[in-house]
Amino acid sequence: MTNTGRQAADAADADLDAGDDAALIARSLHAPECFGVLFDRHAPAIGRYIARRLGPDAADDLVAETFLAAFRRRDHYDLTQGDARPWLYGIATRLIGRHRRQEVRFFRAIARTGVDPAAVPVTDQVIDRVAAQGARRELAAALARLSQGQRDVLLLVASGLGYEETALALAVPAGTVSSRLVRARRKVREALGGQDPTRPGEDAP
Amino acid sequence: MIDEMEQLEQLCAAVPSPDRQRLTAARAQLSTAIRRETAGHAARRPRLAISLALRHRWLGRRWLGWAAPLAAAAAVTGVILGSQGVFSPVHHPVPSSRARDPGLGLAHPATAYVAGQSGTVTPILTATGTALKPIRIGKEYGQISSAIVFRPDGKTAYVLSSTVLGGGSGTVTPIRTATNTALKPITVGQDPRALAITPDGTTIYVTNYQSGTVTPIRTATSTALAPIRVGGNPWAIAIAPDGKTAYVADTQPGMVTPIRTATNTALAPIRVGRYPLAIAITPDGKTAYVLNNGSGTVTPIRTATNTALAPIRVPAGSFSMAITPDGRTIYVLDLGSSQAQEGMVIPIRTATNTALRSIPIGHAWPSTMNIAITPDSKTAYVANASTGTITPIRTATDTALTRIRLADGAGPIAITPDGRTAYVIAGSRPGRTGTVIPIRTATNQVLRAITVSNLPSVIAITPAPRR
Repeated sequence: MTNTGRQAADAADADLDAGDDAALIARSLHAPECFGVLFDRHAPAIGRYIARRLGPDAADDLVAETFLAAFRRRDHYDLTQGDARPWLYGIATRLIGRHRRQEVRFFRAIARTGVDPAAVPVTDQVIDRVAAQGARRELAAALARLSQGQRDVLLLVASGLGYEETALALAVPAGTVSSRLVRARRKVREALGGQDPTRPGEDAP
Repeated sequence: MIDEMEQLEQLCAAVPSPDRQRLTAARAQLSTAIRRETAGHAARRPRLAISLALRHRWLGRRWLGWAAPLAAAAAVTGVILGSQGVFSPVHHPVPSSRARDPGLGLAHPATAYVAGQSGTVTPILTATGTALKPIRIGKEYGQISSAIVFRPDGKTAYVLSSTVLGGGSGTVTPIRTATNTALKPITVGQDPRALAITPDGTTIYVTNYQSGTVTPIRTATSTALAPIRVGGNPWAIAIAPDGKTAYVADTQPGMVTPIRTATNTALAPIRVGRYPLAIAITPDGKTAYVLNNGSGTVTPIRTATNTALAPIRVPAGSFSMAITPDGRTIYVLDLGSSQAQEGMVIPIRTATNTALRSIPIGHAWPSTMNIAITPDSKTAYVANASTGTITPIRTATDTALTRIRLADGAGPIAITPDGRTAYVIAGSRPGRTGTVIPIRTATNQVLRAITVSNLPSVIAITPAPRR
């Protein structure tokens, strides 16, 4: 490549880095290679989300699959949405949904053994307070018992998506997200042996 | 005590980002997949290699197929898509009134059919260069059409489609060309990749990548017959000119299985190189050439004995090829393994089975290249999607002529049976209209763009009526 060509390429790179996801996706319609930038932006977070639900090995494959499915549907992307995260999380969630039994098995295994293959080793991280509280097993057992729709909402929100974003990801109304979340939280709370303020009758020990 | 939501957030927060190695591997998978996806040859669905690997891993079985997609990825991993210099095709205005040429008339009416992800097929009357009303064959974005064949009499087109998100069976939809009406789709196996029709038009064979089978379809009744098990992951298919044998390439583990069409039985497989992606048979039927993407070789097969001859070396990562109708030369397409290298067309002389000097066509990685050859075998048109250019190659001398620039990129090509016009899929815009651009082959002049349904990915033209 000539020097000028390289400069132009660098400028184009900078240009891409600055643009929002929508601009990038629009551009990738003609220049498929632009899609790689979207991968760089969001693959780590999507990878964590999938690893949380199916384990790190499965995540390796599903991350690539998520972005390929996204690539295939890129002409269908709503270009008024500057942030592609809900869209990508939605695709990942749909792919995870195909492996429902594996997900349930994954959480059951954590409940049984107390070992979470998706988490950083306890010895490395003080952050792992959930384990310190001994609640991880119960949490995993509760997750295994939820419906797929409840798990979707709960884990999308716990991964940092807002209600609106979760609604976008799942293509359901925001109201549905709230009601599903309430029910899912109640189930988990009950499983953890907590009190349910919405059911006063059960408050007494 | 922290509440359950906080606990869940911590459970999620405890997951580290995938390490660099894992991300790089995933990106390489994606990049290879996108490259194949945007490739114009019959094969375009590598993603299922990924899901297949996943499933088998979960089942705790060893899956032989895992190594090769990675090996194929390794061949192209040197450059990971995204950070390259060439982003968009050079944009030129489409010639307007000047190109509205009434002299586009043809000796006989041929119709081009364009399909993709729109769930429709757009017919184009090549006599006038006008698009007709799209024919609905499925839900919008519900499927990807990847290949089209015609009965030799041109009366029926068969469109192969598979589901967008993978899983489920593919379909072959017959379309009556006289009325442009779609008939009931014929269900085939999982993740179909390619199809071929016998010269007498009685049977179509579809390779089902995920099922490891080939589905024969009886065209007279539009019914699928019992699938033929070939094993592995069959992809490319070609039928000998005498119609007696179909050759199916299994990408895993690098075999070609001949199928006797009279009985629909698989014969003993022939070992070729790694990850075969394309098959071309000489018009005299004596030799089948198999392009091995993973090995960087072309394996000639003597069809009389079904034995493999000495492989011909081509660049590793070559992914597609075409043979001239006169059978003299095979043109192999290589994207180049990095931005530093140009896309190449490698001519192979069939008389001697030797590769000749490569013809550069400009930077092509990591987009794609397509090829079509005129019926008189005189010119090969090679599309470079990265630069949005078409390079005509004079086959007599294997030299490139002046490149033709297109406004909207350059994808798959089809040439009319009279050889007068090449039709190039020119991609689609955010405005979601696909375009097809005709090129007059006599002068290599670009004619007026034709609007088709969005995201077109395959184009084919009805054959000349047989005399």
